[in-house]
Amino acid sequence: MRIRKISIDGYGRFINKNIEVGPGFHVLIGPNEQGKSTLRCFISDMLYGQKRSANLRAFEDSNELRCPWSNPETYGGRLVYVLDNGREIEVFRNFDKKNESLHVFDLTHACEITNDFEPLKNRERMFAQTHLGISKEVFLNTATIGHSSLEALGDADALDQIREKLLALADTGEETTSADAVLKRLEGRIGQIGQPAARTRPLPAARIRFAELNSEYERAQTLQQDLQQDEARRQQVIEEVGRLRRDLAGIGGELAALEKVERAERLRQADLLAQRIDESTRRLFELREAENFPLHLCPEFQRAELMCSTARNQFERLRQEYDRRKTEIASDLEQLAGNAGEISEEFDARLAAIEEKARGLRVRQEETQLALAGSEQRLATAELELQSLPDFSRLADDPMAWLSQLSTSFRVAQRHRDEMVDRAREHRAKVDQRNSLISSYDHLFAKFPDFENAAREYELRLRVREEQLAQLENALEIIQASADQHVDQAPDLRRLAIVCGALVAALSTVGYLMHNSGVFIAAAFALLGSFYFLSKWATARSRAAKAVKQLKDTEARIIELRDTEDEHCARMERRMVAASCQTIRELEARYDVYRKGRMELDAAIEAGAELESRALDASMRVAQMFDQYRVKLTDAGEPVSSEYDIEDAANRALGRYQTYRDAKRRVAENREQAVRHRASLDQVLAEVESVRREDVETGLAVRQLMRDAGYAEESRHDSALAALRSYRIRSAQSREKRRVLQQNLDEIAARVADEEEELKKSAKTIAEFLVGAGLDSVPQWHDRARQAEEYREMRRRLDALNEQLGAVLRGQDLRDLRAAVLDDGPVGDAARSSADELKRRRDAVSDEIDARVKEEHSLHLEITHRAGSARSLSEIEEERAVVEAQIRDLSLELDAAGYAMALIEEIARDKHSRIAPRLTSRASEYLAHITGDAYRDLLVSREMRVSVRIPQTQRMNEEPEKILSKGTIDQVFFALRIAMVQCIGETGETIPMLLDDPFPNYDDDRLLRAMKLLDRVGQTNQVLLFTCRDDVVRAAQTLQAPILRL
Amino acid sequence: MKIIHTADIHLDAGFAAAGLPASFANRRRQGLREVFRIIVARAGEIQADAFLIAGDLFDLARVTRDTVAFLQTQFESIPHVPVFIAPGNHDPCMPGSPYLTEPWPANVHVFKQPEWTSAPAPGRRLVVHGFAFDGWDISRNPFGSLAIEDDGAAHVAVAHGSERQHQPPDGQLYAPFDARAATALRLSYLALGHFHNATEIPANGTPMYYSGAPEGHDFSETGPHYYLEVDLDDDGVRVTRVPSAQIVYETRAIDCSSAASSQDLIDHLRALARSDVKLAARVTLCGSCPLSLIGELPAVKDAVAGDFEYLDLIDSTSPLEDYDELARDTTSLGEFVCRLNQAILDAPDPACKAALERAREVGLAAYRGQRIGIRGIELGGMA
Repeated sequence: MRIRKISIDGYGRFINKNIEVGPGFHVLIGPNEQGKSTLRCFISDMLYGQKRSANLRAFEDSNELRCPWSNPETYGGRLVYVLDNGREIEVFRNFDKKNESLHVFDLTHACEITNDFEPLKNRERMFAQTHLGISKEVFLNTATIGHSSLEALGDADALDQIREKLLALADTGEETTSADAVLKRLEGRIGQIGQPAARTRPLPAARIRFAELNSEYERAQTLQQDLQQDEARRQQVIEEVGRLRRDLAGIGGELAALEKVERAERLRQADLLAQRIDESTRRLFELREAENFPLHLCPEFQRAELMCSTARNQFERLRQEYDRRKTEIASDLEQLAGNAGEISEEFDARLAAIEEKARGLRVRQEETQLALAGSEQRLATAELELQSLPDFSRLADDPMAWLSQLSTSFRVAQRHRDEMVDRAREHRAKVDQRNSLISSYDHLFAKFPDFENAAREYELRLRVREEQLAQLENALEIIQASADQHVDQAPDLRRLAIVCGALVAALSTVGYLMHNSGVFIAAAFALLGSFYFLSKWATARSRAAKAVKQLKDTEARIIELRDTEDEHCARMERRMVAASCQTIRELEARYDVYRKGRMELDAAIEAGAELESRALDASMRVAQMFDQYRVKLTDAGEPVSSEYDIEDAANRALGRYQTYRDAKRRVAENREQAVRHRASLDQVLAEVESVRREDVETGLAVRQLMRDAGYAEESRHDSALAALRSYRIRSAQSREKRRVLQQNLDEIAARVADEEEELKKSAKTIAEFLVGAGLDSVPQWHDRARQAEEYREMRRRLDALNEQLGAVLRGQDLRDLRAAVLDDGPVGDAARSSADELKRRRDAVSDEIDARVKEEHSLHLEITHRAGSARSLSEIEEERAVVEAQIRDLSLELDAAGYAMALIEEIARDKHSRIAPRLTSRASEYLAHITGDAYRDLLVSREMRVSVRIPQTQRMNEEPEKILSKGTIDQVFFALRIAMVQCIGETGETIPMLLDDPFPNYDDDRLLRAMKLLDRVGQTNQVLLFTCRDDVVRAAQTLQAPILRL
Repeated sequence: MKIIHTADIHLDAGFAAAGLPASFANRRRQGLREVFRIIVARAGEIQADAFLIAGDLFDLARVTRDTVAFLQTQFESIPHVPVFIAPGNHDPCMPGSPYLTEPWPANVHVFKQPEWTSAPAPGRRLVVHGFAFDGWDISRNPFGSLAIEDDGAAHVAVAHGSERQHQPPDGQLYAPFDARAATALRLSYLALGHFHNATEIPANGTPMYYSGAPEGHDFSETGPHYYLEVDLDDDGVRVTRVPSAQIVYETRAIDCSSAASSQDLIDHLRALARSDVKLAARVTLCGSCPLSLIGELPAVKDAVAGDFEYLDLIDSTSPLEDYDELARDTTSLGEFVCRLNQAILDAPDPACKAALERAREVGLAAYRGQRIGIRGIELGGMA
């Protein structure tokens, strides 16, 4: 479709403005604020209207903005456009809210077709969407390319932004919303609703709550069932209590019957008891004399009687014993009087002291002898050891210090030597490494001493060549245009010449036939015209041929220039390839690195030589020290085979020296000890002899005394002290025996006197008892006591009978009891159970009743408590219903969002897959055209990622914005937008493009190429370029594109 | 003689089936007690000769000990008013029923047999006949066995059952009977329970009335509710309907197509509210309106919440979109709408269709960067 005519009655600044445009590429120029944007908006408003949405009649805000500044009732106009099939459509609109109107006419068929289109709720008709196949949003965002849409591209991630915009255009027709963004929003919505793992989100939380409510409901139902059972049990308990109370009443009746029987039995027992009481009373009368006998004194009387008898027997026995003992003691005392003679106790002490002293001296003697033997043994061992060690006193004044110093100095020298050797080795390695790094550049720069100048030369030659090529290509295009023009003109001129020729013939014929000279004049004019056209045709042909020749020459020159290889540049480029550099600048940087590295390497080699020399000196010194120390250590008893043994040998020599020193010290000490022990032993022996002499003298004197005292057994003891002790023991035993005999005799005499006294006392007591009882003798006492016993027994029996009678009567009189039994009448059958049993049963039933009442009460409390502890079923059901409804709603929302996501993803994937190849092919061609083949290849992947082939490396780069300039990025985007518009219009009507100064960053060369591209695109899509720039106009003039001034 | 007639109070009933939340349900359960208390107080005030309760006084499956204690207390407060209860299908006289297990005041007579029995009103020349449901269902017609003595006293009956001519089309018959059969019984008045709307059964002879529930229980029982005051004398029977409901249930639909802003909606809703009685309203929003208005619905609900005892707003609006026009777009958005349009047409069932329509709304909003509320979080769902 293309716009043919724009007629504005009133719209923004425009009043009665008419513009006609043809097919192809047009430039509409006007300064700023002259209405270029207004004109673009007028076109889109005429096609799609100004309503906010398809369902609302409300106007957009732009309706107020675009209202004509004067005569608002003229707000509107006409637009004529031509479809691809040639059908011409005219649209009349009035945007005034009060006079809103729309009419669509088919000019080709001269009819109004407004009603052919379905009216929307906003009173619009969808004629534009039907004809173009795209909505207003798509039209505005795709076919309208303003500079703002390109300016928004920044330097960073520019191609990513392009990708986003392409995706958005493909997905929604807007520049800002792609399917990715939509999917993110839907994902956010799903996250808000809640995936199953997100327990705190509404849907999973509602499900969890629903499960909890179900559990609570089951528990409440169970509780209710339990409560019903408890209630049933409670009713059962109440019934049981009633039954038990009835049983209790029955037991009471049985007890009453039993009481009747019991009363009759009591009466019988009472009569029997009364009879026995009478008999007891009579016997008591007979024993009345013994009533006052002091029966309580009988035990005492018996005791006194017993004591008297005992005392008498004891007295007799003791008197006999006394007589016998007296005789025995007299003979023993006689026998013991013979033993006498005491020895002084001083002798005991003296003899004991001498013995103790002799024992001590013997112990000392043994110890001293042992110590002496030990000292002599140790001395011999130490002398032997000293002989086996070298004589260190000959090596040095202080062998220990000397050996330590030897070890340390050798170690230091070794370390120094090793250090120097390592440093030299490391340095060699560094030098080798540097050398290898530098050598990789040798093949590039070694034979290139003046590389810097060569690089500059290269740049200059390259620039010159490019300029030449550009000029030739430009000239080629101009010549081509000229040739085309002439070629186009030639057929027309020929036709005209032929027509004129024919006209000449016809006019001549007519003049001849009509004999009219005027006709001949006309024929002459026609002939002139024929000659004129013929000459023009000939000229056009010759110019065309000349132009063709020029074209060939120019092409040949271009080819020659391209084919001609500048040897210098080629050499430089070979080096760039070899160095994997894309630009000459990179190669220069590499050269700098090479030069610096070479200088550093030379310095390193010099330092390495110095280090080698120092390492050699250190090694020689170590060897010298080794020879010297080896001799010394061998003298010290430690042979050495290698320099690494020096330190160990020195340490061993040190150890050996310490052993030598210890042995010498031990020899001296042991010798001194032996001398001391010998002197001590002599002294002890002298004392032992002195003590022995004293012991012999004292012992002789004591033995003599014992023999004198009659102790002949002293000779049995080896020791005088032992004999004296034995003598002392025997004397003590004799004395003790005499004392004991005398004591026994005295005791027996005392006991005889006591027993006699006791006997007298007992007899007196018995006499007193008899007088008190009024009796004369002991037998009389016993008789009277027996009677008193019987009396008392009878009294007790009488009391017991009275008590029994009282128990039987139970406080009742016998007469009353007899009367009650008479009242009871005849007694029935004996009760089945005894009273006790009945009472037990009665008590058991009462207890059972109490227990049941308690159980009923606790059940009541339990039911009340449990009923109040849980929520009611109704409440749980109500909450569950609400939560269930919520789950239903949220599940629907989740399903809806998930379905929408899956569908959008699928659609976007398919669409991108279809669009990407087409975009690639067109955009590559357009980019090559705009950049003059500087950038030929552009790739749009399925994910709509844009990459560009970099000419220097010939590789596709996915981040070319890091290399490309902003202008080139602009051009990439421009090529893609143009391609996108054409892709969208491929399946339907071609879409006109309305461009609003889209070349802000283009240089003249690329601007011209871009304009040529638009001119070329204009052959398929109408292109209206709105601009305020003169350079754009000049470019348009170069292309002979129509230019309209606003 | 003055008689108070009520039925179908359904104390302790659940409200889950009506989709009402627990907080509101608890208030209603308490409210039903209050309604019953008012009726009892009225019976005491007018010294009624009989207080007839024609069944479903409470829900046996849900009744609590507290409710039983409440009823005992209420009946004890009118010791001179004889109370006659005919248990219905929701409070049958079966083992475990409080009618059998709990002690009732002396002025209360519960008919416990599934056959007709009679009990005199103490101190009055009035005999009340009644029978009880002994299970959750009675399918036989009980009225054939009722016999009335001609003893000069007024005979009334109280029963729970379905009159065949007035049975709702989708309801189940409980103790069904014909009005004509009942008129032959020479009763002065037949107090019926089971239908929740107050209904007079036209018949020649015995006046028969369903008192209806004294207050509605859900949105299927909209409008006013009553208890009946019956005057029996030699001139005949006069029945007065006394409004008793503390809240009234209402359902409405509001077309949002003409609403320019949420204020219009608020005004519509406020117009529904009443000053004489509190409303429990379920309002369905239909028509086409912009998404921005739907986004304001939670605020709208909050703005008018004070005017209602309970307000349920159901969003059944459709967005202002021309999906057919959108489907013609050559962009991915257009293809998305086009494919969903077709899927919706081909949807096998309403649930699938609803999900697809919602997917279309949600996808479109995502394309445009618009926010639409999530049903189930911000607002009630589809009806």
